[in-house]
Amino acid sequence: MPEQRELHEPFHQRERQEEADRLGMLVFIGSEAMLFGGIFAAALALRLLHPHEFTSASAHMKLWHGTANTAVLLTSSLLAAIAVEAARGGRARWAGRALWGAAALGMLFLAIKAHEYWLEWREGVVPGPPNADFGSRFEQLFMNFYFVATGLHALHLTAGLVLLGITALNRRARHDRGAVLIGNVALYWHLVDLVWVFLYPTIYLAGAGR
Amino acid sequence: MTAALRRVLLVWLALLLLLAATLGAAFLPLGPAKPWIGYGIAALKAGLILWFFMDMRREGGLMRLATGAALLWIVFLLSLVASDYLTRSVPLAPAQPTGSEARHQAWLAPPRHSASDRRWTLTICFAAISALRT
Repeated sequence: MPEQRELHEPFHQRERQEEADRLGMLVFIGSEAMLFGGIFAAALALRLLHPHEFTSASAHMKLWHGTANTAVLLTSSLLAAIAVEAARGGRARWAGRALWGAAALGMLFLAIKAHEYWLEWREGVVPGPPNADFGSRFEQLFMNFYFVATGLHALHLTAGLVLLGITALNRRARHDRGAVLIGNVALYWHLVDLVWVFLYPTIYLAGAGR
Repeated sequence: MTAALRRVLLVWLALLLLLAATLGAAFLPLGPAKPWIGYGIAALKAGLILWFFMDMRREGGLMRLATGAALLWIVFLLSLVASDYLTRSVPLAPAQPTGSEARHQAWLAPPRHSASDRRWTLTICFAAISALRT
């Protein structure tokens, strides 16, 4: 028997309530997208002012870590989309499994990212510690940008992991044929993926093949 | 396998193919076209994610408007940033007279712009107007 979410004030119709839930999430996601828009504006300014330095700094990035992480995150997004479809089709068990799968891939992403950070730490290109050694001032600027951008993204990804876990444990959410909670958490997870889709050419591909 | 599952799997396959394409293109000698191709493919991927995974294909006008508004503001942000940095290398107008005469002229005469300045301003205005009209 599919469970229905109860109605809250001020709504008299379930459809209106679900529409408001969805719209609220989309507006929040829009504000998140604009936050990352600032990061991309910074990248654009760096690249327009120093086109050659930008590509040579990007050539030092770990291209295969970035590429693997893109594939991992795209697949994780697929699992989140499958969770939504499963909940809508009344397959609560599969919805839960897909959510855990998406979370597991999210953790794999963080593990690959942590390995990449660790390699950069060993190379001494992490800004801050006294042993940091950059080829040039621009290289340091690029690494500052890289850690702010990927750090902010990893923070969002961690928040998404918590949301995925909470939703996967929520029996009512898994049995909701409207997939309201699962749908909204999946939206957030897709945003994390979208941001990475644009960070990938910005950080990794700009200097590839040089 | 349901139709919905098959659809998201196909979209995922397309996303991975686009990833392979963008990685391959990064190693080709494409010169100045390289970032355009990289970001073009990223935009295609984003479109697939938005349309199929984020279910924009099922949403009504209100939801699409909320999402589109964020994208529009990002376009404004990036184009205004670019319009500053791209026009910084434009050569300045010939040297102006100095002293009190110059101050007098500066008050009377409108500021001089180079042809290239005007071209950029026009391009940006047209881009903004056509973005607003669509």
